[in-house]
Amino acid sequence: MNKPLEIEVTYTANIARVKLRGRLDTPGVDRVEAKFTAAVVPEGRNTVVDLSEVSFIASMGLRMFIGLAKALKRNNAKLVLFAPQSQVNEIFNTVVMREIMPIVVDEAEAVRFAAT
Amino acid sequence: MSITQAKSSNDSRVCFPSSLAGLKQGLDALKAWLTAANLGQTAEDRAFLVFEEIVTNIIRYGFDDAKEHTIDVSFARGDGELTLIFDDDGRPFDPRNVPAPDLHRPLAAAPIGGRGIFLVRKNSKRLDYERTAKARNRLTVVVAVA
Repeated sequence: MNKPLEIEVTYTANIARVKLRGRLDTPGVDRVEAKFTAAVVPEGRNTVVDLSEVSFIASMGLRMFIGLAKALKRNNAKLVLFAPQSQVNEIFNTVVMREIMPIVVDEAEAVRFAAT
Repeated sequence: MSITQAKSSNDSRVCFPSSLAGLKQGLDALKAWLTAANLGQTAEDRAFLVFEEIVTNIIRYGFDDAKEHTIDVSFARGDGELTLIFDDDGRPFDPRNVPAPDLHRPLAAAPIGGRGIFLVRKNSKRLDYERTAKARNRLTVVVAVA
């Protein structure tokens, strides 16, 4: 059985750091999306998302990130993704995700993007 | 409750309800079959992506009523490829007719969804669709193993 997706949120100044672990498929998104949204959208926090332990993404995961980025933009905040693994990066390339939101190599670069 | 039936060492079939719980059962059955088949990570990722996108699409958009329906999926291993056959009694839907999304839009103009069928096309060698005489959708998706 596939391990359920986990989410961990920590805050530093005005940046929310979100760590996801597992698979961003439909069951995974169903499990974390409400918690993710509640943790960052109402206060309009700039958000960086660590994807280094996400092994798989499907379109429901893309949908979640785009929805969150739009909601944050309405609150003058940004969503930046970093450290995607190979399958996740391949899907991002296929759908040209970098034209929608920043996707960078590591956390330091993600924080710089989020702060500018 | 899902029903998994191994037809041979190369073939399997799973039936599950058209719900999130059913999708999880189907994903678990696919994982068990892929693990036994030992086809490699790329083939597994392609198979999971196709399964996830097609079944989620059937569950979200396939039915005009709130009843639980049954989705039937067969997996078969061939020479350098995997074949997944999806069978459901939802409204007619041929994914080959879905227009490709405009992917070159900034955040403000980008639609939230609409990328799933595009991903299926990009990760498959071939798609065949038939509306059967018994008013069922039968979609065949072939993905490369290597």
